[in-house]
Amino acid sequence: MMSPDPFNTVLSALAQELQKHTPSLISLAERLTLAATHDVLVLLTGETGTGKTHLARLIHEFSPRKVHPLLVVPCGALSPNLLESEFFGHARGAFTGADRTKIGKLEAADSGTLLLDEIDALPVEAQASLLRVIETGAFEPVGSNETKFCQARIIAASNWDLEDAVAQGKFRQDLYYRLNVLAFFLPPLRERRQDIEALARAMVARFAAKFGKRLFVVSPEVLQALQIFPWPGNIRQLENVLQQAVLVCPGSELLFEHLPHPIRDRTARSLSTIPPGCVPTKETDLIEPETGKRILAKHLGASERAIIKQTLAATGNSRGRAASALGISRVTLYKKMKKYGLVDSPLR
Amino acid sequence: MTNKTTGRDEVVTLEESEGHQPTVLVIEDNDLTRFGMAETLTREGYLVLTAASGHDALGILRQPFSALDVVILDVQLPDASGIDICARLRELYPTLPVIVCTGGATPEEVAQLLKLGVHRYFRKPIASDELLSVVEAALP
Repeated sequence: MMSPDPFNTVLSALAQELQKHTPSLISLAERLTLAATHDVLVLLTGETGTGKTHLARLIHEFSPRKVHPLLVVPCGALSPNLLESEFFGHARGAFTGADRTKIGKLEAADSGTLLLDEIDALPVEAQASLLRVIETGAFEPVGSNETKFCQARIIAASNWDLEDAVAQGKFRQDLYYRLNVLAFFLPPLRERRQDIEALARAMVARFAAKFGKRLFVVSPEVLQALQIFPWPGNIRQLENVLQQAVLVCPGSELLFEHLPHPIRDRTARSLSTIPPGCVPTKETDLIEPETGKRILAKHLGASERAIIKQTLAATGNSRGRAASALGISRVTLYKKMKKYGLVDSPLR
Repeated sequence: MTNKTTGRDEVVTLEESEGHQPTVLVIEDNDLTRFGMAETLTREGYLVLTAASGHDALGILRQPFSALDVVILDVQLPDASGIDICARLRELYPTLPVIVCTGGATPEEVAQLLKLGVHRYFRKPIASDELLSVVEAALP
């Protein structure tokens, strides 16, 4: 077992690392340190692009295994037939096209770390073999009788809640229990808005250096736009957006106009329907019922008229959907429409 | 369709970009090649999304923030075979034009890719203007 001192060294280093780019994850620091300093199985869950691979890399780098390789198996990217071969390797002649022995990732990872990404996509047969590896370390390459032993430390990453997959019969319960020793949940980026600025600044600096641009300032409008966007693709998407923006930016300041069209579009739509200082927290094309109620209660008159008009336009003039989006009854909506002269009038 | 007339260093402004901006996904693990292609295409007015691995590529394919028009795929990726990525891509987007770039694919690989409906392929390295004409030809 490790003595307290190395633990605290790793803890403060990890905490610093998290604080720099992802302050919202600082609460994970202690458990991450446990993961780094012990050879336990780790399960990372989170939407695509939320930083699971990055976290796995952190765990690896702060563990005694850092001198050995970290290999990633993208379980979702491989065809099921080749997945077995990818994991366990194959002997020469094992199947058509296997003209030489292949060393699988389990073996290639050696004494390092193996990240099984998108483990939710692992076919049921492969799950059984993986369970055996976890329990005994033993496996055989495809088409071979020679038993090998896996020395690597396994980290699993999943885009979906594995518990749901177990309930649906798509994932083995016994494998899930084995993997669920030290589990981490990475919330989507839209629920970690404080990370957006920190990540954005780091990414802009990185791309500016890569493209040889002298970028010094990120304008507040850009930061606001980044805060508004719902980021279904999370951090990976943010990275792509900022890469594009930095490529396009000619001067030393990153401006709103340098952002790609879909981001600007989203900001324009959001800001036109919601009063300043009130940043929406949920992704929807219409005004969220909760937000709608708050706004209607607080900002009557001109704002109410504008909001109703906008919502009707967004729902294709469907009063039913508009009313539900605004969190009011159809009757109330109709009354308000009459009040503001919006009944039977064209929407322009 | 493409902003060819705006010139090299001009920034695309809000008024100019009404409607959809033609979007290219570049899947290439070599940094220099990837950024080179991204820069060439961006200057031309495309919206460029990039991925350095099959894993990242799939992440973007699942959640592109702009609808994809063309994909440029390097078949020799470190974490997954180009053919696998192409197959998964076809599952998600049956008609999306795919341009394969290769440092040297075997004839069998080429045959398999053509079967998967790859639009065209070019060998690396490729000159900027040739890249642009290949991409433009692939646009629907």
